[in-house]
Amino acid sequence: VKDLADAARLVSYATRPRLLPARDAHYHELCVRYRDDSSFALAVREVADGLGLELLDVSTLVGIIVGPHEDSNFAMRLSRDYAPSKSAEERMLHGLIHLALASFCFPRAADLHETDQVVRINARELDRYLRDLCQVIGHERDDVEPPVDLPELEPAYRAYARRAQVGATTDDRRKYTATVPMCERALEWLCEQGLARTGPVSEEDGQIYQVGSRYRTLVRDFAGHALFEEIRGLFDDGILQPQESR
Amino acid sequence: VTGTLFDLWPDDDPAAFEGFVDLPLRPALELDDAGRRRRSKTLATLAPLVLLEAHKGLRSLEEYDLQELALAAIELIAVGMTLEGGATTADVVQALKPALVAQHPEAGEEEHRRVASVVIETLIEAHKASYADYADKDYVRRRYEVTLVREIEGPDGIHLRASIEAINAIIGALDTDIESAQHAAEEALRYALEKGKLDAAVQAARQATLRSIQYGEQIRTLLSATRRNVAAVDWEETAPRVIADALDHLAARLETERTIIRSLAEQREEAGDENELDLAKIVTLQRLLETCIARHALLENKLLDAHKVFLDEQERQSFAPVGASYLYDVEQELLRPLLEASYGTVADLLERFFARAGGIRTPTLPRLSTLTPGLLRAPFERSELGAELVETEFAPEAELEHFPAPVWAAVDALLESVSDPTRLSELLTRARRNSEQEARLLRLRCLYAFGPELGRPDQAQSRPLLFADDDGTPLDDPVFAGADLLVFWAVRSAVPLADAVALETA
Repeated sequence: VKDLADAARLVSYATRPRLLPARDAHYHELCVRYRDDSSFALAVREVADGLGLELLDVSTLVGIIVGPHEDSNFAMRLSRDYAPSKSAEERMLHGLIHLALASFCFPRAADLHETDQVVRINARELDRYLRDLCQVIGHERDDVEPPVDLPELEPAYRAYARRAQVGATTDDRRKYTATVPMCERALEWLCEQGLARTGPVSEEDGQIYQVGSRYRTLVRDFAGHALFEEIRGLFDDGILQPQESR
Repeated sequence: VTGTLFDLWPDDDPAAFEGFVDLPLRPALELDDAGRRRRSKTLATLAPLVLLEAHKGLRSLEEYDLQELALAAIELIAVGMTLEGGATTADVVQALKPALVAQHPEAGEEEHRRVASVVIETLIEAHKASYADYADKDYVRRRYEVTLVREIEGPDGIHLRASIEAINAIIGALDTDIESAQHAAEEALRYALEKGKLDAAVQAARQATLRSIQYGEQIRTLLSATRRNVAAVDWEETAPRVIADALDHLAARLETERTIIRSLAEQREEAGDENELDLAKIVTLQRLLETCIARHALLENKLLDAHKVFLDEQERQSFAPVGASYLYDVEQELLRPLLEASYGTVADLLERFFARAGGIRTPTLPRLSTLTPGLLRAPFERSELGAELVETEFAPEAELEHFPAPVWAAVDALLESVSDPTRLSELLTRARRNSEQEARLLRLRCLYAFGPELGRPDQAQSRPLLFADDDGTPLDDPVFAGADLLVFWAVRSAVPLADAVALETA
C-alpha cells in the first residue's frame, strides 16, 4: 500500500511538468526507484492508466512523461483551454502551428530518434518554415479557389498562406490573429507545459526557445504516432488523397 | 536556415532598395489619351454583362450566374457565325441548356428557356454609354452606344451575329491571365516605351527587379527546404521548373534593361546641354538601371549553383544513417498530408494532436469551501479607464421670480407716469409704497432699459422706448446697490448716426 501512495505521488509530478528531478530530492528518489524496482514501476504504470494517462517515460533527467488519453480529464482541449472563442479556421491554424512546431523540431524519422539534441527555434523561424512549406506545396499543386459557401474545403496550406504574418500594432485584434504571434503563443505554451525552455533573447528574432527530449518523447511515442495512425486510416478510407510518392 | 540567396536579397535591409525609393517619379496625367479612350469604350462594352449580373435579383434569378451565361452566349453566337448567317435564338437557347441545368438543376425547362431569353435579349438591346474626351482641352462626354449582338435577316428567319465590339472586347481582350505578374510587368513596360515615358519605363524595370527578388525568394525557399530535408522538395519537376522560369525571366530582363539604357543614351544626346534637369534625370535613371542589371546578373549566377546545392544535400542526407524504420517522417507523413487536405477535414485531427501533444491540464475541482466565497466575492473593478473623473458640482440656480399681472400693471403705470428723466431711487420709493415685489420688478425693468439692445427690429418703430442712463451717482437704497440710474422715455431717431453728428456740429 505504501508502494501505491508513492506510485501515485510520482504520477502526480506529471502535473508539475516544469519541475525537474534534479531540483526535488523526493522526485529524484522516486525516479530512481522506478528505474530499479520493477514492481514499483508496474504500480506507477497502473496508477497512470487508471487516471487516463499513458506513461511514456520516467528518467532521472527529465522526470515522468505522460500522455493524456483523449477522454481523460487531464487532456487539453484546443477549443476550451488554448483558443477559446476563436473561429473554426483560427482553431485549425493553431492546431496546424503545433504540428508544424513538432515537424520543425523533428522533420525526419531520424530526428525523432536522436535523444540528446536540443532544437533552437523562434516564432519567426517557425512561421517562415510553415510558410515556405506552404509555398512549396503551392508550386506543386494547382488548386482552384473553394466554393463561396464552402470555405472549409480550402486546403489548409492556403488558409495559412493567406493569413497576415504580423498585424499592425495599432489594431490589437489583428495582432493576435496574425501568424507570427500565433507561433509565439505556441512556443510560450510549450514552455508553460515544461516541454520547452526559454533560451536567450536575440536582437533579430526575439525570444529563442529550446525544445528538448521531453517534447520529442511526447511527439514520437504518443501524439505523432496516434496522428500517423489516424492519417493512415483516412488514406485507407479515401478521405485523404495520397500525393505521388517521391 | 540562411541560404546564400537569402543573403543576396535581405528583405529587411533598407540599403537593398536604395535608389529605388528615392527615384523622383511624379506621375503626370496626359489628358488627351487615345489609349484611355479605347479602354473606356471597352469597359462600356462590358457594362451590360456586369449590370445583368448585378441586377439579377430584380428578376429573381439569383441561382444563375447571368454574367457567365452571357459570356457563353456571345461565344456561341460568335462561333456560329457564317459569312452572312449565324445561329438562331433557338440554337443558342438549346446550346446554353447544359450550363443552365448545371447551375440550377431543380428548375424546369420553361424557366431555363426564360433565363436564356433574358440573357439573349440583354445582348441584343442597345446600351447607352459614354466616355470622356479631352480633345481641344475641353472635357466632353461623348455618347457611345453598345450593341453586343445584332439580329439580321437570314434566308430562313432571324439570325444572331456578334458585333465587332463584342468580339474584340469580350472574346479578345478579356482572355488574359490577369494574375500573371510577369505579364503585367511586360505590358506596363511595353506601354511605357511606346509612349516614350522613360520614368514609367524605369518604374517597370523596378517592378521587374522586384520580380527578380521574388524569384530569388522562391529559390531560397526551395533551397532552404532542401537543406532541411531533401525529400521535401520535388527536384524532379517543381524545383527545376521554378529555376528555369527564373532563368527565363532574368534573360528577358537583362535584354530589356539594356534596351532601355540604349534608349536613354539616345535621349541624352538629344537633350543636349540646354536642358540640365532632364540630363541629370537621365543620368540617375541610367545608373539605377545598371544596378538593376547587376542584381539580375548576380541572381543568375547564384541560380546556376542551385543544382549543386541539391546534389550536395542529397549526398549528405541520403547517406546519413537512417533512424528506426518503424518511425514516421513528421514533415512528410504528418504535416504535408494535412496541409494539402481541406481544412474542414483536418481540423479534428489537429485538435486531437493538440490534446495529445499540448501537455497536461491540471483539472480544477470546485470545492464547496472555496466555491462559496468565490461566488460571493465582489466583482473585480477594472481600472482600464483610468481614474474616475470628479463631477463638477454647481450651486443650485436661483429660482426665477414670477410677477403676477397686477404687479406688472402697477409698474407699467408707474413707468408711464415718468415724463422727465427721473432717478431710480425716486421710482423705487414710489413703488415701495405698494409692495416690495413691485420694487423688485421695477429694478429689473430699469436694468433692462439701461442696456436695451439697440437695433432689434421691434425698436425700429417710432414709439417711445424706456431708457436708463448712468451719470455716476451711486444708489442709496436699503435693498439694492449700484448706480442711481436716470430713467426716461425717448423715441429712437430714424436719422443715421453720421447725420446726427453733422446736425450737432451745425
